[in-house]
Amino acid sequence: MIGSDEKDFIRGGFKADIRSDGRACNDSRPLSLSLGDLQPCSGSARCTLGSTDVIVGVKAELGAPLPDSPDCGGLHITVECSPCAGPTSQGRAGEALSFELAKCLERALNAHPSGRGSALDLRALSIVSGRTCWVLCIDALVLACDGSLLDALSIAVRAALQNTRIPLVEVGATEDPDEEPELELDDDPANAKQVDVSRVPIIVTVCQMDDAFVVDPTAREEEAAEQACHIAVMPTGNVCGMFRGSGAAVTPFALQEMMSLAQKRGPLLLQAVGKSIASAAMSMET
Amino acid sequence: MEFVTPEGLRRDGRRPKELRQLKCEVGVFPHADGSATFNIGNTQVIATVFGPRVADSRGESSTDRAIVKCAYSESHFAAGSRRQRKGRGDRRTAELASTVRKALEETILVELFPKAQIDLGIQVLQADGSVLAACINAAMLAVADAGIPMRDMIAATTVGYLESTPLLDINHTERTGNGPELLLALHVNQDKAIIITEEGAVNPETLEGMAELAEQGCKAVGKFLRQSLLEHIQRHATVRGLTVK
Repeated sequence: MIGSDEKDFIRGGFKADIRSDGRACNDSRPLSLSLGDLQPCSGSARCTLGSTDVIVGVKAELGAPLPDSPDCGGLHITVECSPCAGPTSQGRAGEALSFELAKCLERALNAHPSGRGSALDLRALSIVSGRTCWVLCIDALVLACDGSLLDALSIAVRAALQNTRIPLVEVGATEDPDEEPELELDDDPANAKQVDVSRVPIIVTVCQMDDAFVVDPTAREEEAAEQACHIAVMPTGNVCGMFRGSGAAVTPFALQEMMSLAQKRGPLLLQAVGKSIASAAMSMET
Repeated sequence: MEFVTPEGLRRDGRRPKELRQLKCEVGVFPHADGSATFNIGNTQVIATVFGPRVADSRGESSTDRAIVKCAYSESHFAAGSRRQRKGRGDRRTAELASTVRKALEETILVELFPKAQIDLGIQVLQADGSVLAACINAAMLAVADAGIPMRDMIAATTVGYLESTPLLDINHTERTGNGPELLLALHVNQDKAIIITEEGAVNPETLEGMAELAEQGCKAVGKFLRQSLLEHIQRHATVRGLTVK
């Protein structure tokens, strides 16, 4: 909670295009990524954006596909607020926030059961049609929240998916189609499959205050701004999802302005993420 | 399964009285008053401390001392197989949280902060045996980082007993052997035990051997924790242009 004086101060900063941490309205905070820290996971990433800190673990598990999409793998997304984030994100408030964040991520990944138009090719996860498939469990943990949580979460999810290796499965031949085929897991990491992340979007949070538009807001700035929008942007710059955060109602003009800002920013951010991932992968090899 | 080879080596190549690799980092989060990570082998725990501050509810607060609260959570991906429902609220979690809370309440000089509350947040990122001991160590480091005065330093370790050998710092694989398990948390300088829990049937002589090994383990961990805290202070002092002797 911040007082009205501090709100005025932050808003004044938006108008003058200089924020309390010295950034201009369209500057973002330093981003750092580290990959593959969690041994029990098929892939993992930790993303810090300023002092927002999230960690995402992806586990590939064998499961059964849903009856109405026998050729698709499964996708589970959960978000949890860690007790480390502080006493304010505990209890019911924290739980509500977790559900909201998980829902937003799910929508951004467009986990449609048919797999069509989805950010992830769920068909690639199928092993035996209608019987066995890979289920990707994406579990995110919020360690510190200082605004732009969805930005950090989406970056970490993308990086963790890129880091994920799914073991190769060989399906034994069966004469009777009703018979359960034998599955053989290949332990060799060299043969493991990667997940195609070329269509996985990242989410850009934009805040509005009068005619100032602010990207990557801190928690205080999110509170002081008139309203916040979370916009999911594909690597091409196309918008593939949009969620309105807290605050007052938004005018169509402001909405358009925010969209175009997000469309410009998304690919730039993705480039930065790509670089971070590459350097994290380099440091892992050495 | 054979847990100790005739040559006296364990499944991960350690000797019976050998700890796994220890790693810790103090002051990892700027948003908390104190924070630390503690790794022992593949077990990885983060602890944060908020406070001391005015207690949330007057009913729970005490006029002559601070109260300590502990929130514990194990991530979905912590263990080998993904847990469907992590339990904040299940009994195991509640017990772990209350054990950590008790250990710290015994150690912090709570009588210095009447009507106050100290919040501990414990997050287990990876669980590979000796989780509770790691939680206690991490919490102690975080409290020290917050600058909250303590009676003494705590160090905790777990000792198992398999194939008539006491094993220090058992990992997840060794836990599946279902042998007796002893957790010891020690005030290292005063040489006093603050938490002892033992699970599984064991005869008195064996227990004595296990306790002795646990004590040695605690002292080794305590030495490491002390060294890490000193290094942390040294770094801070250098940054601020002070000299520490």
